[in-house]
Amino acid sequence: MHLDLRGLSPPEPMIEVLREIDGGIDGPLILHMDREPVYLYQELEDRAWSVRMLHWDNEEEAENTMVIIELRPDTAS
Amino acid sequence: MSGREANDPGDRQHAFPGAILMGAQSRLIPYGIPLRFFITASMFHVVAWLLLALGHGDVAAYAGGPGVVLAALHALTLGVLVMTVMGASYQLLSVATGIAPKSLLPCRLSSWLYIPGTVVLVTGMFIGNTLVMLLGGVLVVAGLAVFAAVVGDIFRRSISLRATIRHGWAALVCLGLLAIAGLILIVDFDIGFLGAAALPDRQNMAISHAILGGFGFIGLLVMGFSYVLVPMFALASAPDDKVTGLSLGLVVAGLSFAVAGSLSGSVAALIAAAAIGLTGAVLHVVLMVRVLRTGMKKRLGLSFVMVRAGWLLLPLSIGVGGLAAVMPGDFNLPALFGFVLIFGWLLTFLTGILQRILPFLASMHAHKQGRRAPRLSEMGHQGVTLKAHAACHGAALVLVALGIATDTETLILLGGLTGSLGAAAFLWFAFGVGGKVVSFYGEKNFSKQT
Repeated sequence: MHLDLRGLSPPEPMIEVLREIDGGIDGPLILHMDREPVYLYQELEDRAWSVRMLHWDNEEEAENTMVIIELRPDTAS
Repeated sequence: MSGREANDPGDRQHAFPGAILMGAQSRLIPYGIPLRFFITASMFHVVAWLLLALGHGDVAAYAGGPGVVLAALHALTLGVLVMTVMGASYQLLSVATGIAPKSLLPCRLSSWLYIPGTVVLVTGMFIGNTLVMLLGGVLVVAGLAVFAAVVGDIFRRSISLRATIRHGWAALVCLGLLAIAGLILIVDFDIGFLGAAALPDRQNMAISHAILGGFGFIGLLVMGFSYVLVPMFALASAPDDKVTGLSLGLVVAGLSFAVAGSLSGSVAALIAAAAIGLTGAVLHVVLMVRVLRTGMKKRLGLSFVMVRAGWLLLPLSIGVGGLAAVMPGDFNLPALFGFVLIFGWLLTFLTGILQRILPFLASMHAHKQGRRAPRLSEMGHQGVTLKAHAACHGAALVLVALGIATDTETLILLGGLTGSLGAAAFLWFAFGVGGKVVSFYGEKNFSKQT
């Protein structure tokens, strides 16, 4: 499942992702974002979901940035 | 587009449940930059309460002038509150907006100017030496000017966090006025030009300086950051932009009346300021409480007990300020107003947020290293340190407030010593978290992070 979270102000992207995860989706989730979701990582770790960065830009200006991240539940947990 | 496909570091893949595989250039600035502000703030926290205890005989009737009480006030405002806000701004703004500072040198430069400047200024106030105060004041203002340039640049480039950015701009305007008023007050210690001709007198200038600092610069930044931090911690949607704008408008209008009223000595303007400011502040608190009610995370721990206590003390401080304008001779209300504003609302709220931010930033840096983060609650011996801090802080607030209102020096002394104990416990916590971060990077690599 793909979630396009570009243009949302923090913490909305985090809320959207956690709603999907807590709603029972068994993944994987592909996130399209305009910033790295640093605040999300602790929540994902608490839920035993893994994160893999697929693509990122390192533009200085926020409006030019594109980050694509894959989330999946950790089957080992 | 300068996009890159991320490498997949096989040695880290699925190394542990919840593994964070990054590789992107994170917007996280080196931990050493915010950490130096947070650790220094935690040290000044102890100093401020100790100075208050030392000056217990002069606190209740304090009406300005150099000495131990002025040193205590500035150890707390500049040493703890502004220091914390600077560290948090550098770290959180870049991550939340996705915009990193163009260079890290100004962030470091501001710390090199501001931290020693605060030490020199507080020392000058303590010993009553105008030249030392002026030297410290110039360094502090220079450090704050660099800080304002860095965060102002991020505000200008950001396309998100509108509520936070609007509050930030208003806070920077207050910072400019506050700095001018502060330097004027220092120069006036020797020359004594205030009160002459059409100039406001020294007392009124000092009150407007306090209002611009407490409610203006620090208060507006605190309110603005709350609109992103509280929803983030509670996992809730941010409040509506229009309503946060209304709250900001009311608070700024209240501030304007308060500054005009204090400079001119107009009681009517001060009463209007209290009424308008109180409305804006209550609206802010209602928005924040609503965020907590709608949040996905309900158990927010001891830090949010402090945060909620801070929200209670915000309208209380404005109410006491309004009463102080009407009956300044009763219950030492002017001194009580300053205490409830600075040690009450701002210190209670910011220590609540700081005890949340410190472990959180440590966890983000662990992830940056591709390592499992320790649980937030396991850092800094929180079972002892933060519980001791909260208990001592609450007791100290009650003791000193009662001591001021009843003119009882012993209560102020007891309160100051109790607050010092709590601050020492908080310092132990901050050192514990700081030590954990050093261990993530290893002693060798830590210098690169500073």
